[in-house]
Amino acid sequence: MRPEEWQRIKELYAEADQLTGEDRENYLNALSPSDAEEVRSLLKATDQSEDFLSKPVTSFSFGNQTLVGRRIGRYEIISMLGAGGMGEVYEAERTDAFRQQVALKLLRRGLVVPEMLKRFHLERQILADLEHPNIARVIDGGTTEGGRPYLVMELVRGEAVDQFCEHHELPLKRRLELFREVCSAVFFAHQHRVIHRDIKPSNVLVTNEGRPKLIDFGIAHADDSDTHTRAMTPRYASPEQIRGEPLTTSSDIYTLGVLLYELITGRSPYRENTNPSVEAVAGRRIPVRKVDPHVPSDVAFIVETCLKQDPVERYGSARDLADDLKLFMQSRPIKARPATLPYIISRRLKRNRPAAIIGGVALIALMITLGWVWQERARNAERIRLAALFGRRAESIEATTRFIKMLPRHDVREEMQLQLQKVNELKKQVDEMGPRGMVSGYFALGRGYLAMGDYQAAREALSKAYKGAPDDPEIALALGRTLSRLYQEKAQEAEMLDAEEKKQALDRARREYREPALTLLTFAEQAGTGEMSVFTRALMAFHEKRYEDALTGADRYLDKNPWSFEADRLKGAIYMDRANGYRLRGEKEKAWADYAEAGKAFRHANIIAPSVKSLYLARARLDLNLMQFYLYSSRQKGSLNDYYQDGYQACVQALEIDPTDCDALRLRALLGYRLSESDSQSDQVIEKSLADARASVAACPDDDQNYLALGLAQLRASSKRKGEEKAALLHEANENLEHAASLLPSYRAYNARGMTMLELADVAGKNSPLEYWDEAIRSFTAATREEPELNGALANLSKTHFDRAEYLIGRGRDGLPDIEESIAHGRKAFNKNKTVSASSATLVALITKGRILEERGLSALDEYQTAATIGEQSLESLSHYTLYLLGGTAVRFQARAGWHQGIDPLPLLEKSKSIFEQGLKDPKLNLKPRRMGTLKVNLAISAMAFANYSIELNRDGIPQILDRVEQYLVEARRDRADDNNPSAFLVETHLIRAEYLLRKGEDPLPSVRKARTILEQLKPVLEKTPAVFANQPNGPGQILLLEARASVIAGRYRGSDREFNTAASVLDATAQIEVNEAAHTLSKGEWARWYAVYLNGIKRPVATAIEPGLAVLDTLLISRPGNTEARALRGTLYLMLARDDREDSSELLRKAVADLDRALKDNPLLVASYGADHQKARQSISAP
Amino acid sequence: MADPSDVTQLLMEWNQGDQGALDRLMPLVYDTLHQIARARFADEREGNTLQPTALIGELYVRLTGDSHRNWKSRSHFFGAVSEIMRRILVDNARRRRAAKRGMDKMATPRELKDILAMDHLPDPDILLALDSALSDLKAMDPRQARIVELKYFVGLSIAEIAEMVEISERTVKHEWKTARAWLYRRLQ
Repeated sequence: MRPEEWQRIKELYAEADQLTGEDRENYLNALSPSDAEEVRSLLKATDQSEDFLSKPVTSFSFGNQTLVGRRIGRYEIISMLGAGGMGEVYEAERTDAFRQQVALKLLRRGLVVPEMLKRFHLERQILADLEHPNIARVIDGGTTEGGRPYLVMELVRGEAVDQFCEHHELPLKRRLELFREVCSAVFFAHQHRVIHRDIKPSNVLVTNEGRPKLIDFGIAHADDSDTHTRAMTPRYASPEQIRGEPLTTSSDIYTLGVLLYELITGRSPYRENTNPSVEAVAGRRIPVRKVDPHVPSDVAFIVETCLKQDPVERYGSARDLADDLKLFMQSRPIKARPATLPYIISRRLKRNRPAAIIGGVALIALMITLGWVWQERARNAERIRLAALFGRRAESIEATTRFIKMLPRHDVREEMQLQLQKVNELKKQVDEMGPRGMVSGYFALGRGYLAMGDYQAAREALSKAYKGAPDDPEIALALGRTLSRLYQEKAQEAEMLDAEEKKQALDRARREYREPALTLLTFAEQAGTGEMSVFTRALMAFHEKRYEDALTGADRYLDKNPWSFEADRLKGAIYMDRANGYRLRGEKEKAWADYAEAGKAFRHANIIAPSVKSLYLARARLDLNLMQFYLYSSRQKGSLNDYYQDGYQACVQALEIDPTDCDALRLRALLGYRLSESDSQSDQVIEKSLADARASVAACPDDDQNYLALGLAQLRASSKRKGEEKAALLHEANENLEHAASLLPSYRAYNARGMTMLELADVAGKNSPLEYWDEAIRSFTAATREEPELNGALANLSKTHFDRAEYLIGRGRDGLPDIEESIAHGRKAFNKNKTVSASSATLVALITKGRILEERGLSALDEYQTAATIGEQSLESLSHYTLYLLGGTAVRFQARAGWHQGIDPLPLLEKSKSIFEQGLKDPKLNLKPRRMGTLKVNLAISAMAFANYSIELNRDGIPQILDRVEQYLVEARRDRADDNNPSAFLVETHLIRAEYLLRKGEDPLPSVRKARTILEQLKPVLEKTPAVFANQPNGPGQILLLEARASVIAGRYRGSDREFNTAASVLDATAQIEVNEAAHTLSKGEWARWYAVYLNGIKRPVATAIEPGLAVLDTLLISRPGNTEARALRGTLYLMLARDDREDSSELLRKAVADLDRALKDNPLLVASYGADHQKARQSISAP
Repeated sequence: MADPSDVTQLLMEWNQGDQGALDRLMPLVYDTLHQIARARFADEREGNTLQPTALIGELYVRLTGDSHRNWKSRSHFFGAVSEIMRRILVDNARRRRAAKRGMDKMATPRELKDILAMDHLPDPDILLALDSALSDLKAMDPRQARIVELKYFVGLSIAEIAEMVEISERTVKHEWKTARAWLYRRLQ
């Protein structure tokens, strides 16, 4: 249109525009048709264009949004790229030498408050570490003059990923490759505890080089649990994000799933014209293959896995997702692991119909359990903060493991292997990640191990996490619970040990596990962890030994969480612990009751969680413990065999869960080992125990415990073998124990090896035991090095030296150095801990040393006195048969040795007697008749000695004492029917009574007759089986001495030459056989004395009587000059011989005076018997 | 900083019909707009909106160094600025359209929206069509086209345009209405 024409039309239009209705119509009709049409169309456009161009395209409004043109730091703001709730993002240019274009992100001024500043700085710090080719890098940061913090980031020039794919019409494979790069970026961010939260096409820009870059992390840190500080994009948001729940990395996986869906299908997963938020939460999506049937099913499956409603079912990590895509691209089967386990489980449920019912129950339990997990998650944002990166994986492991545990009892290895794989993957990632993710990584790893029941590994990982974040209550709680479990196990193991080792092990368990556990739990408890807190408090109460509170707490927790087998297990541990305490204090009834409750609790826990191996093992350990209690307790409950059977059954059940579990095999071996300790041990049990121990070694060839158990079983089994076979088994035991010690040098292994050596020495017998003893000494010394505070090995060392000393003495060699060693080690052991073995080894060595000294004519008073003191001290805290026996004996020996040095033996013998009497009355001993008999015999010996010395000292009360002695011995004879000792001592008792009567001038013959009757009964036994008595204190020689003594008494009373002659021939015969030299000499001396008295009475020379007596006394006094009795007797004999009218009378008198002087000086007590002779001799010599 | 005498010279040349003068003037105007924006931001005040007249007035002062504000040639200057704005916007629309097709990966660094609120920026296609239509309109009716430029691209009020173009407000209104109808019809 020409301008003139336009001017005309414009005027026509202006006119028409003024008019309305008919006027306008008439006006237009008057125009030419073409003009009319033109104006009409303009008028029509006018009506329609009312809003057209109504608002200027520009308005010069700025300042509240943009900083363009300003300089910030060394950057000049060039343009605004975008703005959001948190602030603005600008394009900026570095103004110094590096003309670099960057994106500058500025916090909105209204948000510059400390809280946000902290967060902004945190983001800067975190993003600074996110150096990844697919993540826009953080370059710099600072604060504007106005105080607004900013971040400088890599400026990405690129196209949104969806547009890029469309424009380039990328094939599926290329799209997946792009997407995998995005996954790697997201995974990298997750490893650094950063959750993106707003992954969408416009935040994934593809550069000119075709590299996708993740931009706009916003302020989305994994530690930031507040979902509301950052806008999300509903179309891509996960259901939990929409619900406003705290997020984990899994939320990003969902979002990645939406992105992948869109990249593949070109559309949103949600139906058109719907609200994506509503659809996402409801889980309504159009399946991928419905949109595009050509999408490969694996890819569709991968997308669907990302889009699972339950985060647990999604991919565990962006890397897993990427890996599966890679597998698909390589045409390999994808893993999509989360679906595998339910498959295994459903398969099992189908296979096992009756179990399926229980399985159904377990499924309900699982739901409750998961509820618990989520409840915990929702309640504690702090934990999410820490665990965001790995926490979900740990939770997945926890939940799955729990599920497996609650299924009917079954072989869990396959499933646990899968879980272990997950844990191992987790470990690999944690290791790869370096120090940054250390805390959350190790925390998650520790939880994984904890769920798997590998407490040591859990402890290790959690300790690392704890080191990194010592103020985190969640980590403290997890570590506390781990240590608590370890304590429970260690304490249980310790209870199975023998008394002295137990104390040591318990102390260590308390120090290493219980105390730190308590500290950690207390700390965690202060932070308050909701429902868990009830449990934690119960746990704390348990560790503080507030058993009532602990039980109440566990029950309260169970009220709300009836499926918590953990609470049942805790109850078991509480009852066990309390029972152990009762047991220690001797409150046995209460102990038995609590043990029973503990067993009940463990069994109940197993009903809820039938596939928890450790619960069966706990029960087996409890049974093992009960067996020990039974064996060493006077008040027994139940039967040993029942405990064994139950424990055995528990092990069998544990083995159903894991047929290769070496703990179960070992426990079974130890149960057999314990059972074989009882009298009712059967070869079969020992062999079974041996087989189990072998199996445990085969199953776990790296576990020192198994070798130890095997060595012990072999040691025990060797007692049932003989000769070569026995030696071979002992050698095997030695090898295993040596191996156990090489894997983990331990007191137990070395000690057991030493015992094996002692056995081998025993088998070697007289041949060559010395090398075994040498080895035994080395082993026990090594054991002592491992546990310097334990005295068992020291006691064994003492015993070994003693054995060697005996061997050497028997070979005529000097045993004293070994005896000294034995005493030294024994006393060291005794000083460390007053135990039966330490005390008895020391006592035996001291008494033996005393005898050696006496044989050498030296005083043993010190040795016996020391022994008596140790015996006394031992009996203050210990009650043991051997200690009563040795203690009483030591005091008796002390009395005898003291007698020779003028110490009144009667109070000591009184003490000796009372020790034996206490032993007989001690209810804790629960003595068997044979041992009662032995104590009674010893009581009788001490009482007899008391009577003898009373006679010598002219004291009263002798018949009463002898009455009681007779009574003890008659009882002892009943207790020990096959023993001749009570009878022999009964003979002696009658003879003492005869002596007493004789000295009183009464008729001794009835007593002599009694003695002789018994002697007549004994003699045939002695002749038939002399060997049986060879080692007895009352061997044939002693019996003959008694016979001679009877004749002497009869001869003295009757004045019978014949009796004296009989006695003389018996004494001569005695000299031919093995007999105590001192006893024989004194008997002969007595015979000489009384025969001389008789001869003197009938006026016959006494030389025929005296001279043989002097001969033996001379010999004895050369070797034992300290025997005051012998010396005094010799003095008397000299005096009597001097009465014969002889040339050497004065010489004899001088000798008599010398002997009596010295004897009575050394032992003034002899004055009672020899005082008169002493006076006579002195008078005779001074009045020639 | 541009030499004020240069700017005056360029304005004169442009006024005498030299379109090349506008090409040379455009970067000066653009830079000066940025300077103004920068100055306005210095105090970081919220809601700092400048009336177009005030802005262009400032622009004029900065460009020419004439601080008397009694500028005779302001009509020329406004005309020049409005045409420059139109060019800037059209350039921007071209780039945006290119970006939409994926040919240009990123908008130009110095984008207009950094200076001006672009709330009502129409679709690039419409803007380009408008530009083309406006050129036709200019050939047919330069004054009407100028009114559209001042009204739509600079955002002056009717009164300001009346003063600028030295016609009555009523005429401005009528011209604006007619131009709008014509352009609208043209763009259908």
